[in-house]
Order: sequence, then structure tokens, then C-alpha cells
Amino acid sequence: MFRKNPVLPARILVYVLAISVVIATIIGALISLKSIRQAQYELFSQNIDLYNNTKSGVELLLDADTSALRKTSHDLYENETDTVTISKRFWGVYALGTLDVHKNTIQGKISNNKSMLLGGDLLEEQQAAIYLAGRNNELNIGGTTKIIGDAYLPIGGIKTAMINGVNYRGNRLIYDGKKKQSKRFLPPRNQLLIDTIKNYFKPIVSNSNVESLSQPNSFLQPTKIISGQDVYLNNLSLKGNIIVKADSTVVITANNQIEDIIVIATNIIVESGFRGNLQLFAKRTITIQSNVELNYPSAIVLFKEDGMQITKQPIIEIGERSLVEGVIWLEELKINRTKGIVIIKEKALIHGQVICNGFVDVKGAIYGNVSCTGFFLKTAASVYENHLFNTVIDATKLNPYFVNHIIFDKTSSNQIIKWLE
Amino acid sequence: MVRININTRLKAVSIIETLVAMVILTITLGVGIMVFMNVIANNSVIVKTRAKLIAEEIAHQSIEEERWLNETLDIQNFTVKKKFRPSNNADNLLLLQITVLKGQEEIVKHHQLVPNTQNRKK
Repeated sequence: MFRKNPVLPARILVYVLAISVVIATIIGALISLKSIRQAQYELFSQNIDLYNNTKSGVELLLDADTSALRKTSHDLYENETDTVTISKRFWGVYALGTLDVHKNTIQGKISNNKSMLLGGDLLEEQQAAIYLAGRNNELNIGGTTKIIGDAYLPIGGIKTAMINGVNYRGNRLIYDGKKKQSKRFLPPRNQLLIDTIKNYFKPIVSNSNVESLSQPNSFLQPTKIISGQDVYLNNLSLKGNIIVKADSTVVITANNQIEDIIVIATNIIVESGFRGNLQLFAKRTITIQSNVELNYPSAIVLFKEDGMQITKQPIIEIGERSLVEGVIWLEELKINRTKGIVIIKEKALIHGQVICNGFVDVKGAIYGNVSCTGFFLKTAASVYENHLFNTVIDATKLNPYFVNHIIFDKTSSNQIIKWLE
Repeated sequence: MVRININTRLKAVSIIETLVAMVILTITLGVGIMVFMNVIANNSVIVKTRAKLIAEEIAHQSIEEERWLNETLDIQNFTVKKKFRPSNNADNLLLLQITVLKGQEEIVKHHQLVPNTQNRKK
């Protein structure tokens, strides 16, 4: 029996087309998934290769001779697709290494760059508590003085003494160490570094806008310089590749935020309460007032050239309860009648090295090493040469991760102190 | 008596429509299955990623253990060939080359400069 207008559903083609669209969409998704996975792998692989190239570049940089101090390019794996450009130069008393890594890929060239502060291993003499250079002089200790670690001393050796009416209270002269024979002079300093520091004091013409220094200046960029007759650093944030230079005096107040910069002047004053990390280079005096904290790797360098007509005694003074982590170095190329002096006041702590080819007056403590040509002690009653009174010099308390500066001639620059921006 | 109108047209599935539908469906499903199988079966990215990670692991271990030996290792169905030779860039550095193979096919290659600690210790 048929209806009047019978209609049979005949839309099979429509259904098939709909199913085909669904299948085509799934195919598209699968193809996209595959290409995304491929792209992800390429990115992953390139990142790993670039990371390995950076590690290889760092190894090349650490191996490079500090005395070369120039930019060199290398084909890393002798395949002409992976290259690195490395450079090494001085940044204060440490080495500054930069590297620029490139890799050629199908998509193009990819690159990475890094900069880092470098130092080296401690010399044998620096692992001792004391290196007193000289011929026949002797070291006298009194009161609660404690020398922990080896002591390099002249022929005179070490003796106890009554200072201010107080005898030596310890039961041993040297704890956890031996007495060793020192030489007449301190270990030789790096001449290339000395020449570089001499250049620091030469006049500079360029000057950067202080406002432009509010952002950290990368070590991959040219150095920015603030200079003037007298420079007063107050309420500033200075970080990175920046040099502050004054012909006369630089004053650094407590409310600055300073990291990694170099300060050069005739006289430098760091005011009480300052905390930061910097390297100071002066020709006449450096005064670190009380409660100052100079974090590792800081450096306080007083450098008197032979040509300088300075009649006053060059002085580095570390105020009471101040902390210096790094190195204090007083260098006189030509010793005058008035020898330079490093004064470390009561309760001040030096964590690192003190190098002085003049006198050191230690009333605070040194965790590390002091290398000098003489000790100086001034009391209310008298002045003494080569005497230590109520002080602690402890080589065993030096942080085992302490990386050395490159002041001494034999020191390599094969260890990373810190990564820089 | 039933009367049949011979002018009435029946709307039904024609043989042509059915054939076209079958062809389209066959092609679509065929391509779909091919792509699906290709994506599922061809896991080259997974293989490469695993090979890359194995190469990294071997390099890391060699440096950590200071194991400067040329050797061939079998790890997770891969053959790993590790070679060291002095680098032309520096006397104190070695060029570490790790090749990861699956069968005879080279999957990934790893290069790295490593410190020649034996030289440094001297």
C-alpha cells in the first residue's frame, strides 16, 4: 500500500559528508599534534645544545690565560656550527669573563651570552694565618691573642710578650698549625694588574647621566662612568658595570644600594651603616666607618704609585663592628719614610685576605690570612712594632668556598666567584 | 479496487548516491587510518628525546666520575658510543663526543668540552 505522497529518507550523502568532516578534523588535529611535538623537540634539543655550548664556553674561559686578556673566537667542536667568543679582563682585583655562544640551526642562528666574576685557588702562603715578610724580625704576641693555622715568620720566630702589663694568656703560640720560614718580601704581585690599577687613576673624560644608572648596567654593555672632583653618593641604586671616579673624595652614605661597582678616588669614605658589595681603589685614605658590611666579593685597595708626592701616611681604616668579606690590599711601589698602614679596629671582622707591604694594626679579628711586612700596635701607653695584642687570626674559619682574588702573580682565574648580569 | 497513480515518484536512495557515499567514506577512513597509524607508530620524536636524555646522562656521569674512556654501551635498546680526544681549542680540555644509535641509525650526537683533570692535576 502506498500513501498519497510517500517520502523515503535518502540523505546518506549528507551523513557521509558529515562523518568525513569529523574524520578530517581528527586528521588535522593529529597532524598538528605531530608538528607541535616535532617543534617542541627541536626547541628542547636546541636549548640543550646551547646549554652544552655555554658549558663548553665556560670551560674555555676558565682555561684561558688571564695574562692574554683579549677577545678570541673558537669553533667549539670543529664542525663550524657551534662557535663561541670569549673575553677576559680585570674588574678590580678579580677577572671578568664574558662569553657569547652561537649555534647554527635549520631555523637560523641562536645565541646565548654570559658574564661572570672569576678568581683562583689560594696560594700555599695564603692558606696560612700569617705571612710576615722580613729578615730577622720576630713576632710578639700578648693578651688573648690567638693565631690558628700555619704562620710564615722571619728567622726571629714568635715569642710571648707583656703588653700593657698583660702577659700572653694562651697555652700555645700557634694553634692547629706550624711555624714556617717566610721570605724577605711578600709573594710577587701581578704586574699586569698593577698596570691596570695605575690606569684607573688616569683622567677619564666620559661621564654618564646619573638618572640612566637607576637600572643595572650589564657587563655585556660598555662601562658607565660617573666622575667629578668630589662625588657624594646618596640614595642611589648602582649595580653592575659602573665606575664611580673622583679626583678628590668619594663619600658613600648608608642609604645606597650598591653591587659589583668600582669606586676610584684619592680618598674614599664609606659611612656608618652601609651594606653592599663593591671594590674601592684609592691613593691616600680609605675610611670604612663603624657598622659597615662589605659583602663578598668586595675589595679595599690603597695603591700608592712611586711617582706620587704624598707626604701623609696612606691609611686604610676599618671601623668598629664592621665586616669586610674579600680582600684588603695596601700597595706601595716605593716605600717612603712613612709606611702605609691598615688599621682594623676593635670588633671589626675581616673574612678573607689582608695584603699589605706596610704595617697592619689588628685590633679586630681576621678569618683568613694576613700577609704583611710588619705589625703595628698603638696603645694608650706606647707603640710597638710586630706585636699582636688581644686579637684573633684564624685561617681555619675561612669559608671553604672562598675564591681567591688575582693579586698574586701565580694565581690563576679558573674558578667562578659569581654570575653577573 | 486499488488505484495506483503511475505518476507518483518514489524518493529513494539511488545506486549512484550510495556509490559516491561509499567512495567518500572509504577515502576518508583510509586517509584517517593512515595518518593515525603514522602518528601512533612513528614515534621518532619520543625516540630522539630519549636518545638525547641518555646522551646527556652519559656525559654528566662521565664528567662526574672523571671517566675519560672511549667506550660503547648498550642502554634501553640504544647503542651509545662515547669518545674523548684532546680539543684543538685548549691544551687542558677534552672534546667529548657521544653518538646514540638505534640499530645502525644515528639518532643524536652530543658534543661538549670538558676539563682534562689529569692535565690540571699535573
